Amino acid sequence: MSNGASTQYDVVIIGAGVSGNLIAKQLGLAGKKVLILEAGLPVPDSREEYVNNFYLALAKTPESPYPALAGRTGSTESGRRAARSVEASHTTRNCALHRQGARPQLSGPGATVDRDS
Amino acid sequence: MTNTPTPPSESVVQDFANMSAALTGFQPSFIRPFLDPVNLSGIFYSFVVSQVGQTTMDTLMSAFDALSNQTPKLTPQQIANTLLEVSSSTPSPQAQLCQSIIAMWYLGSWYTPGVLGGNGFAPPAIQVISSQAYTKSLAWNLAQSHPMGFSAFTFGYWSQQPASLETFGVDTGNGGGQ
Repeated sequence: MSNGASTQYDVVIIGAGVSGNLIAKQLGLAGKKVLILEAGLPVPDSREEYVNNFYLALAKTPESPYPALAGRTGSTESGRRAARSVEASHTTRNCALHRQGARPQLSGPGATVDRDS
Repeated sequence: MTNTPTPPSESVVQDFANMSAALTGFQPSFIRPFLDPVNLSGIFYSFVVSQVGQTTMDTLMSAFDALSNQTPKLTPQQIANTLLEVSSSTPSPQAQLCQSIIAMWYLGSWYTPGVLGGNGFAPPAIQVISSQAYTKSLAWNLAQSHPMGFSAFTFGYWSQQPASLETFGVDTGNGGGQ
């Protein structure tokens, strides 16, 4: 995170979901320097396991397909949300800079800073 | 409850499939096709035995056998009505087991017999029996639809009327679904 800590960003987006990525793309196209922080695990090559998790989940919630993160053990929605916000507050695992239309780097541990291209 | 489960015999599974067809209102040949690589009937039979014990299951199957051997022959709907004790406001434990078997086929999940929900809500399921139990569950067929991420339909199917309920395995001929 040393590079990231010394870099100035115009916008920091928390969460590399659909909305965050779309906004990051538009900001990048507009020439803004954007940092995306994502607490989730890297996306695996095959998402079959996600589908299977979903089928076997008793309650089909938006989060059911995904493996539980360490620390996210709450069985209630509010518990999960609380655990996630704690993680997000100190996450340094998957950081991605999206700039000038470059594709977000969402996999791999540690901060990925796509400085220029 | 049971010892190491041995696979149920062919005739037992077929008998269970016939009873399941009567209870669910689906065609027996759909519940247990001639070629049945998934074998949900066998999986479900063994699962129920693991939950309620062999004795309870044997008693239920005997009750079904007695009904299906009656003369004049009862329709699947009549057999289901009798097993489910639809005319009673306080169904017996055996009828409650039949309710759970119906839920198992329709939702791929196991609900403890006799445990009711509240305020109009269903009771919580104990477990989804397996991925295949979920994707092959009958609710999708009754809705002429398919589960998320699992479809045998061809691209563009949504632009056409769904196939008939019979095509989806529903026994519409003799009272499957009142």
